[in-house]
Amino acid sequence: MVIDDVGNSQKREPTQNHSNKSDSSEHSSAFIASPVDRLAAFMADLVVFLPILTLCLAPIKKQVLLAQIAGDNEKLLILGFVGAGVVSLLLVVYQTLFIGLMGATPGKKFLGLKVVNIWNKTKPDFFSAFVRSSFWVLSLCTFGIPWLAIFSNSHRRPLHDRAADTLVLVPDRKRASSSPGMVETSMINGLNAAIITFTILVFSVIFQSYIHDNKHLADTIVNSSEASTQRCESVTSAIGGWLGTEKQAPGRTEIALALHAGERIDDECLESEVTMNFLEEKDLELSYLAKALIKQDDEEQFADYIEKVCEKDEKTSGCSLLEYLQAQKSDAIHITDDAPTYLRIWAVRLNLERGHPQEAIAQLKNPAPHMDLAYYYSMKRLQAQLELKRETDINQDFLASLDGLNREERISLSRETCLAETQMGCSGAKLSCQKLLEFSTSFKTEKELSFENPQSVLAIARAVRCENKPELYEKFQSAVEIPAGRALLQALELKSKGKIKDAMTMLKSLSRQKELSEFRVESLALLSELSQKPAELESLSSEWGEEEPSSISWRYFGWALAEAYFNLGDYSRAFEVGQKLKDSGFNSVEFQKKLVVAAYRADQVEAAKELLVDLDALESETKVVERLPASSEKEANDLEEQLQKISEVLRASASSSAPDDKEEEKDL
Amino acid sequence: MIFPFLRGLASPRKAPVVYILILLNVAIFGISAAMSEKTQTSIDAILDNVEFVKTQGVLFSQEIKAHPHNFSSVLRKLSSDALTGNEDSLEAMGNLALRNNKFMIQANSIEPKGDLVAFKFWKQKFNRLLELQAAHPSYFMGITANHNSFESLLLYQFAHSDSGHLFWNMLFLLIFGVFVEAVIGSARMLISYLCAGIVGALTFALVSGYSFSPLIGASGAITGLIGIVVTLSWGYRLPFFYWLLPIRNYFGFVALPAWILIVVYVLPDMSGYLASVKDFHSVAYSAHLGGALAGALIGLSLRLKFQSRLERTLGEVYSRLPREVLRNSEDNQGHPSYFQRPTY
Repeated sequence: MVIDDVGNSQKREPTQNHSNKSDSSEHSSAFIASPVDRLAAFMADLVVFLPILTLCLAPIKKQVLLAQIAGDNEKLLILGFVGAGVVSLLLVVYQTLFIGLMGATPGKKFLGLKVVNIWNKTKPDFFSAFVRSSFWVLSLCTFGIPWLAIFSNSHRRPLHDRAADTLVLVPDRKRASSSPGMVETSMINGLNAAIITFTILVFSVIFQSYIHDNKHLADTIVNSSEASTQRCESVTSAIGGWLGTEKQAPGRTEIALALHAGERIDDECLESEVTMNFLEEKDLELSYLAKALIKQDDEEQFADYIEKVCEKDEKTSGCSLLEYLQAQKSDAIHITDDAPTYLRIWAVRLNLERGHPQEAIAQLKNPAPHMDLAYYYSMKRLQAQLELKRETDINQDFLASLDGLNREERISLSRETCLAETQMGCSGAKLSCQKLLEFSTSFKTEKELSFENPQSVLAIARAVRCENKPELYEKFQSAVEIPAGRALLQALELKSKGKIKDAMTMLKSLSRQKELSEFRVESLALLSELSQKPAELESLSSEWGEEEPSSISWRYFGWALAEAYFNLGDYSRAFEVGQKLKDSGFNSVEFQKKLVVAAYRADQVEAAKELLVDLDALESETKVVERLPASSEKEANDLEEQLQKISEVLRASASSSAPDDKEEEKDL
Repeated sequence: MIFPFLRGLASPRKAPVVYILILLNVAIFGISAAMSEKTQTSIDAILDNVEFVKTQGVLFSQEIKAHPHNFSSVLRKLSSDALTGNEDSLEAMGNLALRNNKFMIQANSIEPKGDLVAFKFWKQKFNRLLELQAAHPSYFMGITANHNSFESLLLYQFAHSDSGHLFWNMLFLLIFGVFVEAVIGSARMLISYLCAGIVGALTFALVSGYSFSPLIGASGAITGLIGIVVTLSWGYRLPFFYWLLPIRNYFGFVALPAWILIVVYVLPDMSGYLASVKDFHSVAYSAHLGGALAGALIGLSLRLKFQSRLERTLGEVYSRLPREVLRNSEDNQGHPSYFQRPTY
């Protein structure tokens, strides 16, 4: 091929043509065609070419659809290549044929353009038409970038024109295009880079979205050929390591039901399990049971599924569970030891929900059948103990539960337990707070240690305070993300350093923040502890009155208040608050001991007597030797001693029904 | 972009039947849209219920598994995927079931296996769906497997399901209808139009078989009009409006041979028909092609009788176009080139 500079001669051509009249009228007048004309010609070609192309591609398109349905990716790839081949071939044939025959494609003809050989200005032969078309298609394959040369080439000849030694002419002088000037050329050259980059970007985006769409289409019409099983993964992973507590190992559906009961998998997961069961027609009874549990909210369907479950035998455990649920009964559920795991968990759940924590604890006596359920068991046990207001039992369960939990679950369990145990001040704190600190400080980085929710900040604050490790305040402060939580830790740090006044100022401002109730109550309780004047306590007491009675925060705050009154020597107020707490169900041994002393010192002898009777009953019932505040061993011993005396005196007075010894005892 | 431009013919006075047809279509669309609003919402509610669709998918797949020879290989492949529990396949099967005649006929009598309670609720919904569909204009106007009397062959041509469908059909009815009406007269035009629609529906029934999703729309009849125009004016040049670029002189009028209409309007239907897989497409290409064929035959039979009227009509149209277009169309009779270049 010759890339010849014919531009100069071309410019002179009109005069040449005029001088040479013998030349046929075929190119009597010829000027270089403008890029706009050529673009328009391309558009005109599309009008005819596209319908022909789609017709030729139709059988391939059908095969593509079939391959997509069949999920045959290999065939799709081959068809993609075949399709591209057909498009290229058609483009080459279309252009070669029309240029070779008529010297212009229909679109060019429509706009009066013609393709000529640069040497003799005649119609190109079939070979150069073929070369031109082939290079045109090659340019298309490179996103049409070579076409941009039409803006910079002096004769408007992009790659395909130069390769085939051709030139595109227009007969009309008005539409003639001059060679690009210096300005246009340099501007276009500058623009070219930008256009190329942009084009590549656009095409890559289009390409990617096309690939994505196609993938999505193939995915939605049908899955890919490597269809995995549609079982629920959480169940699959739980099957290994399942304790064979029952006589024979539980089936997959049973495990799924247990995990569902323990809120480890959701309805959707359980549903996909039973869908498979129904398709494979196995475990049908359990599957109906599962469906019933999923459809609990839809009365009609629920009833139908229950009917299906109870169809054969109304005495099956699943049937009775469903009937219990349907009737919305609230009596306690008792189950036998050989009942399946899922049923036991449902029993725990329902007993707890419907106010039978004692039964729930009884059903929790066996260890969890799987690691995944251990945490659920521990939390439910804790919840039950809290319901029973047996703060003292929590600790034993806590230690027993720690094994088999992962780190997050351990932290979570110790946090909840620590919060529960410190409901009556630090004296109740057993191992859980210590463990919480242990687990929390085992984190290496501060990022890992971040505390995002108020509960976790509160638990840490209590743990550090009750375990008496003030050096940790600073460490945790930097990890806490809630400003109020940081302020609380800061106040506690100040308190530990003896700066009581500063600490109180901080706590006061914290207690005014209504929206963070956890921190507000905590700071109010701490304020009562720090208060030295009865007037301060009075104002706090009125704050306590505004709390919702019997709520956890009310009890916590109340306990702190009672303690503060007691320590300040205002026994009648201490007794008053304590009585309210007791009425709300506060029944720890230590609390009652203090209450007896307070009552006695507040001259409420009759009340003290009654309390003493309750205390005896409570002690014999729980059989737990109460540990009194370790921080003040002496005070504890004193209290114990006093109580001993009081009880002796009261019992004596009860037998002689003469409370004359009162005077003597008051010196205590 | 290119379409015939028939200025001077498009007045309601000259083509009353076309305008009556358009008004009729629009009115029926409006009435049926108002009527079907409630029904449509109820139908959509059922069809959007994933549980319903999946249960239907299970049933359909089980039916295919039980009688594989009754169904296409594509459906067999899909159903075996669905029976492995693949949720997407189950949904796809559930949707395809509504288009499958064999399933729709037997659905109520198939013995389901598996979750019998789910099937019970499916059956309730399914029969409710059938009831709703029977009351839906698209279904009682359209042609379905159990609704294909002679009246419905006429009626289906006036039903449209969405406004886009209606707009394009009416646009092409206007473009081609006014020309046909001007040449062969109102009564013949109306009869030809309806005949083309009927033949289109019959072709669809013959080639693809009636389906449970209704065949609706004026497309078949309108493709028939295109067929009439092509055969009537074969050998003549028709005035077209073309639009290549949004620049002056790159859009305008041109006289082109009538067969361009086949390339631009009928070939795509052919491609669509060749590319369609049974049960998976929603355009009745075979009805279009049947309509076009009917129109072509009608045009051929009327060709000699109306030659002078055709020439007169074309002359009238050209007289209203820029002088150059008219001159080109006269000058270039018998010219070897395929396209006329526009004037500048």
